[in-house]
Amino acid sequence: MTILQPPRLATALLKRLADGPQCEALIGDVMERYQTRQSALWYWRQAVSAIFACAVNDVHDHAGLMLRAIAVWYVLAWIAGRSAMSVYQGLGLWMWNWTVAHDLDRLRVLWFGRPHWQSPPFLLMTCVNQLVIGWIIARLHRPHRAAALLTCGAVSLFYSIGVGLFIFQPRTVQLLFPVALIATPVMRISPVLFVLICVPVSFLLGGLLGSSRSEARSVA
Amino acid sequence: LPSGYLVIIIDKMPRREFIGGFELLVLLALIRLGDEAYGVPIADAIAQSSGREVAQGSVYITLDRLARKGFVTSRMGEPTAERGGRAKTYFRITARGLREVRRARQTLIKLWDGVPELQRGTT
Repeated sequence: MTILQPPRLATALLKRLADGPQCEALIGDVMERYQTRQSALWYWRQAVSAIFACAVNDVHDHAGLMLRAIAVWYVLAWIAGRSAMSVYQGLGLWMWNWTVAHDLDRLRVLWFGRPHWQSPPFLLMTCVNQLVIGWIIARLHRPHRAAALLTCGAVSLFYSIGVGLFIFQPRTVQLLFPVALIATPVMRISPVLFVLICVPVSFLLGGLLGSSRSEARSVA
Repeated sequence: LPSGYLVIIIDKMPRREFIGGFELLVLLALIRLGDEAYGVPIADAIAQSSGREVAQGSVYITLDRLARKGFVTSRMGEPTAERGGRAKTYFRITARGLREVRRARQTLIKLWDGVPELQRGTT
């Protein structure tokens, strides 16, 4: 009998993220059903649902640990944010003088950004920060990494939505959210999509990298 | 008794837990399948009777919840190549689970009877 190989990426995500006492059997069931279904889309849906099922069970069983993960994420995000801002501001004067002295206007624009587009190097630093934080969260919560990552990812998304609304400030938000009226001009120049998408995605990607292959269970 | 004790006593009183709709379907599938009940046939049995696709993950979440309530027990089975070398987990309904299914059936029948809207199209 020929064994059909399911989509590799979905299997890799399952191997890395589905964890828990029943998850081995669950992955086996999804693989077994794939032999008769033979649809990549079906397998992807089942894989995502299996990862969420295992994570939800883990969150339910280890609520205290998840609160700890959120606290660690918040502290790390705060420290990383402050450090990135200090480095960026510390290099600002030097970068200004250097680009003026060497007539590198484009580099200066790239470094300091434009109105409504925050500095690309600073945004990149934020992404790298989130990537590292995701990696640390996954390493610190190895037995329950999927649950910790998804919990912190959800908190990060809500946090980003809050920050995004603060930055984006359309008229409707200004009416609903009066604080936005007094937002600092610096906050206005970030593209909201970056904050809403790239920050949580970088965090989850870091978490995936932190869930090393050696810890993932082997699939024949 | 001081009033504080009353709160503790009420808290420790055994609570009657109602089983949900999907939980009942899973328990019925377990009864039908007997000793051969593991994730795949359970999902297939529910899909065949309801005509809806069932996510394997939701079957496991429900089985886990039922195990916590003491309505099902599990044992490890044999690994197979088509499962990527992973072992099956077989589930079995407990006496308590069976009692709860009977109770749910009686409750449903009592609520069903005498409602003309629910009698139409059943025969």
